[in-house]
Amino acid sequence: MSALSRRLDLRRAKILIVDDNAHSLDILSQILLGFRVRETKSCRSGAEARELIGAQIFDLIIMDAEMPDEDGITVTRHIRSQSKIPNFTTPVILVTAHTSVDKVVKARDAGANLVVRKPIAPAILLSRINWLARNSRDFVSSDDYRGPDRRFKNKPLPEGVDERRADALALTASLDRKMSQDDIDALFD
Amino acid sequence: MSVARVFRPDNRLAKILDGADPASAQELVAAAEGRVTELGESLRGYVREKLPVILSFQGAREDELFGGCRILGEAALGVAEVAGAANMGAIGEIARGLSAMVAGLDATGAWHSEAVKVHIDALAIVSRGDGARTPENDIVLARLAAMRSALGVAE
Repeated sequence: MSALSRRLDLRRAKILIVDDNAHSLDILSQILLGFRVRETKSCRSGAEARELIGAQIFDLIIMDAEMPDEDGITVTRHIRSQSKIPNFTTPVILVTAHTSVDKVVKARDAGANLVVRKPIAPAILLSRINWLARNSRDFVSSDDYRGPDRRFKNKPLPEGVDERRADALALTASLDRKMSQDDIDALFD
Repeated sequence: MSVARVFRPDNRLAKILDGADPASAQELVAAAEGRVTELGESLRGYVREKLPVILSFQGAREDELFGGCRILGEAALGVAEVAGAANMGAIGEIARGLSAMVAGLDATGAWHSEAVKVHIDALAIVSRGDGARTPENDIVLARLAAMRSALGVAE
């Protein structure tokens, strides 16, 4: 089945969106309305996000990585430190205009599930939401990391295949390199 | 020795796969794009409001540029996050590059004032038109991207 013909019903999804830029928040809200999401909560700061995350259960959190005072990466780290709250394992998609390798790795290591480049393309966001819905992944909780299990499947390498994720490792070789959406996704696979 | 706990959490998002009245991804994307298009005028208004803040630094002295870099960076980030959705992709891309250079000052201490000035000048030229991605604007964007790459700007 092609990606575009997949059928989804997001009407019962409860989504939190966080962005300090009111227009960026508007764009996200309208995209989710287009996706037929009926229950969206929105806020414009990390502090408000923390309050909502502690008080309500969300199925997905979409958050700006760049916010004054407290950025989305810091809030993600906070969510992943709260093992007693229902949103401890809620998928987090960070959205950002800056996708340097360094930033994407920080987002991943903070426990984000995915990073999506801004300006957000509805097709890309929907495909990422679809992916999160279809791919239930283990969650790791340790002293150093709390978030989606990033380990590759534990199978022997087929003959002739390089050390796992050699292509992803090559991507991280230059920290200055701007990452395309495909490059970013490769770091989260 | 720390111990890692590995478990499979409940995937609440999976409910979107089993709804009573699902729509195709194509329909949902089309609806979302339509709604974003309707925001166009308000987004363009926001970008036009922010552009003078950035362009006020055109021809600025070195100390003025450095002193105002935070204001410049905030305005540029705002434009970068939104302009593409308003069909002003060329403006958005230049603003993103500007924002990346200002962010680089915090991250690495590197301040590329001449490159910043070139970006502001390019923004002034591109914003004389509608700021959309055109073949001509793409040439400008490619040159600016090459400049930032040569300077090692993390984007």
